[in-house]
This record gives sequence, C-alpha cells and structure tokens, in this order.
Amino acid sequence: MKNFKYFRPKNLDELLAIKNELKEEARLLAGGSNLLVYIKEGSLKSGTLVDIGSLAALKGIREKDGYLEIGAAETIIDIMASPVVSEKLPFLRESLRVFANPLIRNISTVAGNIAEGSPIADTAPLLLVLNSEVVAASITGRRNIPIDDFFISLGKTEIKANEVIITIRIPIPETGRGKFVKLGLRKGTSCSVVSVAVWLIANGRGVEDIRIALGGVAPLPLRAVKTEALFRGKILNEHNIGELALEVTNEITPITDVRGGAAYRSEVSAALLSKAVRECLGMEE
Amino acid sequence: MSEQYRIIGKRIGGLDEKDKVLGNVIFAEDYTLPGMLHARVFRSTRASALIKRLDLTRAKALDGVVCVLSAEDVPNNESVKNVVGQTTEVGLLEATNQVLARDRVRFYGEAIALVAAENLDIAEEALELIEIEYEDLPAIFDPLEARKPGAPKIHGDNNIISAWKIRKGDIEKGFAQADVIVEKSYRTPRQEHAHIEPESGVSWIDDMGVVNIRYAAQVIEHYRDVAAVLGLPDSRVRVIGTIIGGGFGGKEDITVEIFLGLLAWKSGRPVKLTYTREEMGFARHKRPPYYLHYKTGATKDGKLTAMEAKLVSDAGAYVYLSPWILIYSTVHATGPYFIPNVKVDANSVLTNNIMTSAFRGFGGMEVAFAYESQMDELARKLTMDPLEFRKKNFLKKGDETANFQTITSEALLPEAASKALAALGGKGKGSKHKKVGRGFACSWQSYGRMTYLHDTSNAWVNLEMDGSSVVRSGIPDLGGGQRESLRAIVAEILGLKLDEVHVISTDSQVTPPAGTVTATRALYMSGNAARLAAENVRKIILDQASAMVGVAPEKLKLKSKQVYLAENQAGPENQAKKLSLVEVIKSCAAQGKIPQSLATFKAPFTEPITTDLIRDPVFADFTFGAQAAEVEVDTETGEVKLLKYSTAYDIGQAINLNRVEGQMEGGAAQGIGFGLMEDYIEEEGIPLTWNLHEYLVPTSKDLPDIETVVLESRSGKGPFGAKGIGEPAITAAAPAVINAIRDAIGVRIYHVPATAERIFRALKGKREK
Repeated sequence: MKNFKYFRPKNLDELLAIKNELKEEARLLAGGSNLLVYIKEGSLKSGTLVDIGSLAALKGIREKDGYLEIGAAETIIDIMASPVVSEKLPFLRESLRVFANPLIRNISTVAGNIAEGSPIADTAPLLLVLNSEVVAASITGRRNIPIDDFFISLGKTEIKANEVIITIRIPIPETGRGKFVKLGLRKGTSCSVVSVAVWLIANGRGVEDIRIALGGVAPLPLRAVKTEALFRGKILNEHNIGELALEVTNEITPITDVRGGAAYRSEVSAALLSKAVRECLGMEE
Repeated sequence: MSEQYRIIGKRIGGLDEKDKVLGNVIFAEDYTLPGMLHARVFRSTRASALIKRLDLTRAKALDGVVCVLSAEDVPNNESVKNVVGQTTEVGLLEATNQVLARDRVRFYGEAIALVAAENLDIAEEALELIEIEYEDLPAIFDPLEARKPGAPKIHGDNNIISAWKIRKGDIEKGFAQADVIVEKSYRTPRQEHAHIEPESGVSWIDDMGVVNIRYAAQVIEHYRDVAAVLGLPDSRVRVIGTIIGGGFGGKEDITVEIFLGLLAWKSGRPVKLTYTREEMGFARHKRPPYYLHYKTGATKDGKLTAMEAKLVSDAGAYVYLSPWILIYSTVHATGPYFIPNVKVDANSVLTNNIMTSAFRGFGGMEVAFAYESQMDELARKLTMDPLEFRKKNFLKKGDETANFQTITSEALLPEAASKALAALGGKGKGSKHKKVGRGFACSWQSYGRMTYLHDTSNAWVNLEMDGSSVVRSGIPDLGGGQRESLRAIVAEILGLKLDEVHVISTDSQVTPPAGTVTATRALYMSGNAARLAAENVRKIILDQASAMVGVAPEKLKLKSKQVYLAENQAGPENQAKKLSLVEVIKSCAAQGKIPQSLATFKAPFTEPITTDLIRDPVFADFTFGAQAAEVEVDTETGEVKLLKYSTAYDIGQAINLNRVEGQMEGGAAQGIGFGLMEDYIEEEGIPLTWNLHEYLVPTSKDLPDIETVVLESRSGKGPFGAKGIGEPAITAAAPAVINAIRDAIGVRIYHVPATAERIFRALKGKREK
C-alpha cells in the first residue's frame, strides 16, 4: 500500500534538518510534476513528501552582484513573468515558452527540472550555455556547484542526499545572443527528442565565443566543447555553419528509443545546431 | 427539396454542452453507492505463455479484500467465437475468447484475475500479492510472418482469421489498357482511441435480484453477454448507459461490464471498476495496423482502368471485430471511384500483439490512405491536375461499385473537393528550409451496419396531456448529440419546441432497443425510428382532429400546439376550426386512443455472405467528401506544421449544424493524428506507449482552425434525407496531409504516421539518389 508522510517546513532550517535526517526518504515536493507521476504510476510507494512549494526562503527572483538569482521554488510561469528576467535575460523567458505546457509551467520549477538528472530536462541546456551555478545547502553549509559539474550520470546529480537546491544563479551576460531549439514529436506538450541551446558572442558574423549545449543525445545534458572550439574565430555563413555543426555528431552518444532512432537524433542535432546559430546571427528568415 | 424546417438543420443549443464545459455532467466514474467495493484487474506481463501456477491465497487473506476471482470462478468463462468473416476459404476457426485467462495468455495485458476490496489502495496491494508462474511459449508478432504455415499458432491451426476478396471485370485486361500504372506498398499504425473518459462503471444487485450495471457503453446490448457469462436469463441483467466521455469504438467491445457483473454477483456488494490510463493503453483493443499493396492503372486521358489491392491486417491475439473491419476495407478499397476492373484480396491475421477491433473509420480510412496516395501519384504521372483527374473517375449516383452495389444517393464529390480546396484560401510562401505544400483527398465511408446483419432500431414517442412529448430510445449518447438529434426530429414532426420534448435513452430495461452507437448508424437508425414513431403520433392526432372538425386529415397541420387547416385551406371560416392540441389529446384520451407509438425502423436486409467473394451490396449507403491541407515542412528536421485545413462532406441533411461541424472537426483532428503522430508501439508484444506522454495525440497547438463545408443533398437514408458523418469525417484526413507533404518536399511518405524522423529519412533518401 502507498505509505507517505507529509511535512511542510516553516523555514530553511527545518527543511535542511529533515533532509539531513531522512536523506533520500525525504522527497521534495515543489510543483509535483514529476513526483506525483511516480506516485501514481507506482514507482514511488513510500517516503516523506516535504512540501517546499511555498517556502519563502526558496522564493524570489532577483539580480545580485551581476547574477540572476532564482529561488528553487519559483515556478516556470513566475520566471517567465518576472520583470527582472525580461530585462536582464529575455533569452531565458523566450526559451521557457516551449517548456511543457501552461498547466505544467504553472507548477514546475527549474530546480525540480534539473534535480532528476534527466538528459531531456529542457532547462538543462539553457543553464549550461549560461554558465550557471546551482546553490546547494545542507545543515553543514552552502556550496555553489558549477552547472558543468552538476550532472553526474543518468538520473544522478552532484546534490548529496542531505542537500537541497536552494538557488539557481545565472551570470547575466553582457554580450551575446542565445537561442534554444527543441524538437518534440508534437507542438504542444512533448518530451524533447533533441534540444539544443546556443549562446553566441559575435562580431558581425565572426565568432568571438560560443557555448553549445544539448539534451536528449547522451546520458546527460552536455556541452559540445569541441564543436564550440571549431566555431570560435570563424566568420560564419549559411554554408560553413552547416559544416561546422556536423562536428557535434562526434560529441554525442544518442540512443534509440520510442521517440526516435539514434541516427536521427545524431543528424538532427547538427541541423538544430545550425538553426540555432543562424537564429543567433539573425539569419533565419 | 425546398421544404423549410423550424428546427432541423439549425444550430441547436445542446442538452449538455454547457454542463460539459462546467464539469457538471455525471460520467460513469462519478457514480458511487453506499457500501461499494473498488475493483482492479490482474493482468498478464507476458505476450505468450502458459500459466503454470496461479495462487490467490495471499491476496484473499489481505484485510479489506472481499472478492478475488480467477477463471475457475467464472460460470461460463469460455465462448467460442465463430465470427462472420470466417469464410469458406478460412474455414471454421473456433477461436476461444475467455473472460479471464485460464491456462494460457496470448498478449501482454490479458486479464487473469479480478480483485474487489474496501478501497482502491487495498485492491492495488492485493494485485501485488497474487502469485503467478509462467512458462513462455513461442510467439509471433509480425502478421505477415504469422500467415506462414510454420508460424506459432495463436488459436486453432490457422492464424488467418478472415479472408475476403473482390473480383470485377478482367484485371489483366484492365492493366493492359492502362498507359500509366502506380504500384506501391503502404502501412498504417495501431491507433489508440485515447478517449478522455476511461472505461468505467458501477454494478449492484437490486431487490429483484437483477444485476444492474451502469457504465460508459456504446453497446448496451452487452447485457446479454454478461447474462451468458453469469449463466443468468437475459432479463436478469440490466445495463444503464451513461453520457460517454469519448468512445470512438473504444467502448464498443466488452469493457468493464462482465467484470462488474461477476464481482457484484459474487460479492453481493456494489462494485466500481475504472481502468487506469495505463490499462487503457496496454489492455484495450486498438485500431488494426494494416499492410497494403496497391497497383492502380489509368489511361493517358485520366480514366482509371484497373486496381488491384492486397490487404493484411493484424488482428492481435483474439478475434474481436477485425474480420468485419476487413470487410469494410475490402469493399471501400477502390475509394469513391468507378473502376471497371478490380481485384482485392484481404486477410486478417492473429498475432501475439494486443487485440485490435473497432475504431472510428473501421477499415475505411486505412485503405483511404493508400487509394488517395495512389490517385495523387497517378495524377502526377499523367501531369494532370489532381482534382481534374479525380473528377473523371468519381462515383456518382447510379454507378456500380466493385462489389456490384448501385449508388442510390447523390455523391457530390466534385463539389466537396472543390469547396475543400477553396476553403484553404491563399497559399503561404515558405522559405529556404521550410517548404509549403498543399494536398487533398476524397473518401467514402458507409453509414449503418452491414445489411446482412438485418439491423433494426426502435423508438417510442408519446404526447403528454399538456402536449409535451417523451421519447424513449435505447441509443446511447456518445457525445455526438444522439439524444439531441432525437429531440429535434420529434419536435420538428410534432410541431413542438425543443424544450417540450424529453428524451430518455440508453437503459436496456426501460428504453426500447435501438441498437449500438457504432458504425455511424445512430442517427440513421434511431433517428428514423423516432421519426416513424413521431409520425405515427402525429397521425393519431390529425385523425382525431379530422373527426372533430370534419376536415380530411391530410388538409390539417400540427404546429405550435395547434391543429390548423393547411395554409392553402386557410380562410376566415376555417380559422374557427383551429383546435388546440390539448383539446385533441383530451378527446383521444376520452376515447382510449392514446397518442403514443412504438416504431421499428428496419435497414435494408440482404442475404448473409456465404463465401469469401463479396459480390453483393453490403451497405445501405455511403457518405462522400473531401479534406484539404496546407503544410509547412522543415527540410532540416522533417517536422511538419499544419498551416491550414478544411473538410467538406455531403451529409445529406444536417439535424444540428453545430454537431455536424463538431464531428467534422473532431474527425479531421483524429485523422490528422493518425497521419502525423499517433502510433501505439509494441516491441515483441511489450507495449511501449501506454501513457499519454509517450502516445501523442494532436493538441490545440498542433492544429490550425479547421474550416468546415457542409453540403446537403437531402439524398441520404436517414431522417429528412440525412447521412451519417461520425466516421466519414476521419477517413480522408491522413492522405490529405500526406499528399500536402508530397507537394511541399517532393517526397511521399508510405508509412503513417509521417513523423519528423520518417520525413527526414525520406528526404535524405531523395538527396542520396
């Protein structure tokens, strides 16, 4: 029989204390868009549901020291509606428009999206190209985890059993443009087959710097660092963007599943990367 | 033809739309009864295996578990199914259907045991306490392989469960006359109904010992199946239908009713059973997947000379309606075209996949994908406009089909196709990587059941003392407004307002049997029965009024609760003879002439099919129409965006225009899903898409506004000349979209759904050529 306890911490100390006590048995419930599915499908049968959805310490979207700081309990919809986000990082707002659907955006959080260590979490490529940090807390203190170190393996992240994600920190970029493209099997509400995020700092069509991240093509969301290196310093045109983008197929290890074949994932990754780069350069019609 | 109706054909505000939007409708799952148990089904996790041991002891011992049943507890667990569709060629099949699997399971998800407990959590825990041991048996999942002699047998000694053929003219000669021939193979998916409402119901034994089952049923006549399993007289089982939250054929076969009957009968307690969304996926039948091979020839002037089709459908592990579906495919295989030489060979084959059965379109839409792809390619080969080419070949009234059935209604195909195309408006431009294209497809689909089934429908209509009317009909309301149609028909004929007519429907012991809400038959059959009964009641009134005023009844009119002389008879002296309806009813009552009628409508009857060769009429009539699409294809990724969509059908006569358009839009959306994204995937019999986040249906973001064009020839066999639209609305969608993709990118997709990956591959194949 299903056997759950419910606990709503009044403050961060209570949250960290129960997480320290129960470790994995404490299941954090922000919007529940993952957790309730596990419970309903029966893969999660017991535990303590720790409701952090309205915990003030995990709320807030603010600019601080050149970073955009997003509380772990902030929902996607609130992030999209935030004036700070619109002003400082419209790329984030625009990219979240393809995240799930309005019902799920109303309850889901960025922290919850990445906490599962899923390779198809749609916020992961965004955080990767933005060089974000994940702030984790436990009763012994806080630490900032660079997003590049955050994903360990399929379903596993750097967050320890007694830790809680409290904030996502994104350095506000001074220059550059970003583009997130997602390929799903339908337009409304679908898991990504492949997703690609690009942050491009260009001088005209010359690449000063580029960051590329992909979802759905490896056990982890990943940065395509070799492809980035190839792009750097190049003067781009429609033709060489396509050629350079092909390099990304050497950096990924997609699988075949019910949503798509490995070969398609690989080839379409290059196509999506080209598209994203062209969009960053304003070349898309 | 020019008769104006007060109600018929107008936009009628529905009986239940507002309640549905507000969430006020009481659906099957919403019923509860005091002391009610909650049930769950224990199901197979093997596709083909012997059950070596089944131990229910621990489940039964769990606190709160009231009833656990396996095959040995079912009074009549097995029934031998010698379905129509087994022909002289195939021979008697004797496929055994079982309520609960006894010794052997044949597909993943097959029911093995039932649990009823005090609450759902306990029932679920009990499922985990059931112990089972399997011994795997050889299995077969590919219907083409399953046809071969050495393949593992699912039932009996032949996996081919039905074979149909059509022979018309001389096929060799037909192809010899052709200047161009297109020959291609096609595949269609195993589509999931994905109705919003799960299969659900509640059962109880009443104080007369009758087993009552209240559930979401497209076929309330299943009370007979429940009675047969329980070993009770038919009169001891009552089915009360509910407003249905979507069916599409998914609630046509047995769903929860036998399990509910068994559990209430065995436990003596009320029981509720609702399938989970996952169970709806892996345990319930799907649309049969088809392999189709088509060869079509035409002269350089664009006249079709010959068509040969070979069809194979996957029936899955049990014999449900796949043999019937195959008849539909065989008869509809030519498309709505006159072709002098036709040869069709069709098989339905058992496998260890999930069983397949009824789904909107019922064999008519799988072939539509193939024949309309063929027509499009032939037009290209002939360098003819695809509409002009089709116009040279459309079936029209008086033509004979490939199975020698004369078309007796208007077909209006040229109008439908032209108007569907025109409704798309101006064409979009596209860009370097996004190509825009247009396509259309025409189709035909029967309405009404196969005529050898001798279909009938009953309705009872009366007039109350105050002149209002009650209609009783067994027809379930599937969400298409079936009750509303009866109300409109009776109100029109009796000269009443809509809210003066009340319809009681879908109760096997209260309402006269009206038959199933399937096969696009509900309006045709139950509408005609209600029409007949209302006409009989009107006659009673007019005859009585005639006697009262001394004017011949044919000169009288019944309207707004008054009996008038017909308009052309109206003069000052006749106005005095106007009678109120209530006066006439009182007069009837005084003389014992109760204004009520139980009427039976009989569809045309034909002789049963006795051989595998179909050479006689099978259907009463057909609905014809066309759908058109404009798509944008991303040539880098293969993604398709539907830009514009239109659908045009001759529906004979609209009863409620809102509902007609609703069916046309919904049918298009479901057909687009079949063409672009829906595919229930199994791997070695293991279902992979049993949840709605893996099995994707179109959302509002995937569909443009759908333009509807309603044509009314008033030539149908339904009331007021109506035809059916429920199933015809889905049939032409997939080929319209596929033809549009072909137009956009120069590549044809032969295997629907046309996913981005399939389009990407096809484009790559073209580039590499």
